[in-house]
Amino acid sequence: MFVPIDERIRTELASVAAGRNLSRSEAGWLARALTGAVRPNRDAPLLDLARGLAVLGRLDGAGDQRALVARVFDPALARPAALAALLDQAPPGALARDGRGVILPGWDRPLALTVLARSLGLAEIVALVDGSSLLPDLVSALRQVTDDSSVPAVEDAGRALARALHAWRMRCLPFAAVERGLRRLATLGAEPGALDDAAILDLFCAEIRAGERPVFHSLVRLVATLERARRHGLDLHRLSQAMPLDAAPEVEAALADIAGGDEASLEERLGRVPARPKCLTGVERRHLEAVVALDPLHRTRPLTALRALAFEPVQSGILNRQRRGSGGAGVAARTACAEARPYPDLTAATAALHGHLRDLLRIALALRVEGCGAAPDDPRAGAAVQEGRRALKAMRREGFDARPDDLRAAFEGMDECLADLAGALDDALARIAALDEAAPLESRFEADRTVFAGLFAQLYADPSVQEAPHGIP
Amino acid sequence: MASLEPRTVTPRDIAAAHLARTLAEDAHAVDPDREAVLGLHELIAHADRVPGGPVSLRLERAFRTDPAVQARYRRVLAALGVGHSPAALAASTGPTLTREVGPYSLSLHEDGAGTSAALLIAGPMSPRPPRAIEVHLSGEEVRVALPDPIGTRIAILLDPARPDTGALDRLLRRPAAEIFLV
Repeated sequence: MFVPIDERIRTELASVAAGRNLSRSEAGWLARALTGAVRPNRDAPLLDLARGLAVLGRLDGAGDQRALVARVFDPALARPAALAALLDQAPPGALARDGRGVILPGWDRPLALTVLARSLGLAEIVALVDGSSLLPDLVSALRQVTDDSSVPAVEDAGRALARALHAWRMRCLPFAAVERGLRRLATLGAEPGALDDAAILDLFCAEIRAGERPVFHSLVRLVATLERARRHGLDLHRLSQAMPLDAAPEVEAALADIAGGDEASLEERLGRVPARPKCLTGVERRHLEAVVALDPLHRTRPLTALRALAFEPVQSGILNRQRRGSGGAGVAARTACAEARPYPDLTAATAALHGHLRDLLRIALALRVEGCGAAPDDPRAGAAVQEGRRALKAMRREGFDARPDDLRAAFEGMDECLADLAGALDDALARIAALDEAAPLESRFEADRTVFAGLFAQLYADPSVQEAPHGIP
Repeated sequence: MASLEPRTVTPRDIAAAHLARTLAEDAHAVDPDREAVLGLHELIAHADRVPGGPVSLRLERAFRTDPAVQARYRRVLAALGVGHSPAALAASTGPTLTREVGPYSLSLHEDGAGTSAALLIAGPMSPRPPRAIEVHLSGEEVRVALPDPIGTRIAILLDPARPDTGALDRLLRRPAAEIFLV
């Protein structure tokens, strides 16, 4: 149970996202289309893809299959503007364009260029996964819609693609394992909020006793998914009942939020904080991402969040060491968890980051006030502006010496996100402080380190299992 | 578009969203150690190269070290090509050896001495004729440019003294060879 996804699929998606320069939410949509988490119709992205292929097939020179295939996978067409330029060269009468998109003769509705652009990204990832085993399906769909771009033919091609992708999902994604894990967690935490820190750790131990090879961080992510689902009123026990049609948009929003790919999610906005001015160093950004990725557990289950943050690097280090067979300390040495960051350390890092975010917010305030040229009436606000100016002077990072106007523009794009991030850390620190009061973090960490060292030793110390393949379900 | 049936949300839906999150988070966690996957457009450009032309070192290295890249490249070639045969569909001994490659028919004619042979390719030459033939057999591969067709046929002399045409002649005779017309 709790098997991670095949490493290759992740690398392939990451490379498509990088090659097409996709934003976090665009990459999130691609991931959802790939795994089938798009509602109300999980096949809709593939129907759009078939329509997109039909549009490209109508362009000049499309009789040459080689040129057509090359065009479909051309990453330069990742942007609607580039697509628009290409479509402008279409032979007269082949297609029509209006403000809403592109429409072929006989079609009832146009295809928006943004949808066409993301469909081509989907084509690329579909053609890459599983050693390109779906590429022939894609090419035959392309051939079909090039020969006949009528609505029934295009829908037919889209359905064939959907069937091929569905078969791939069942074969290559650990659906059954994830579903089993979610159901098990839902049974344990039948009452909302009943799945406490101890229950999560108990489940991890039980898995190991049962002979499974669970990954603690994967388990915690499943819990986070379940919590996110609950936040939207999606309860596993009630899910199998039919829902009214008008609930479809809500379900779509809920699934998008669980997947973390929607526009509003903090992860997405954190990804958009620019590299310059250098508000966040790489270390700071990774720490924030690690905290935010566990949302909402950093608020609801702070101890589990600390455990995941402290022991995830140890376990993934062991797994990497097993996979590579070299580099750094041996597996047995790693199981002792000597490298795990103690909870007080992690908390201090979070607190320092929190302080830094507050400095940035004061700088943002000072820049805004200077921008409108009037001093604030409230003396407390005036003091904050003064502090902001001092913080800006003291800031020794790259890009903070830019012209005030440029700096102001940069901060105006991100101050809301910085405030939300500071709020999330605020919450996390308050929960951790309460935890510390009940029992000191230092002793909690020492107790947990003993527990995890024992569990990892049980999992990985036996030399006969060290070479066991991992990561491919 | 939507049917009138009430919809059912299943635990599988949440599982799909969970897997999507795992994938999407990784897509943005930049790992400097991780070498980028060869993009399809790179493989397509390689599959469409002029034989003997320059190739990227990154591609060559990936071909040598990663069998998965080779498998993917063969799929790209098959998708891109106008004709493809995973193995001999029809092979005959004697002076003439024939192979069916997609809509094309390849025939290898030997001269009396068996030293050099002519390859004839017959099949559809529009909207564009095949420009190159590539043959793979257990790690060995050869690519030869094809001349312009005369009518509905392409004829090429397989000179055993030249490494590329000599290898093409040798590989075409093996029933297990995979043939691509690009």
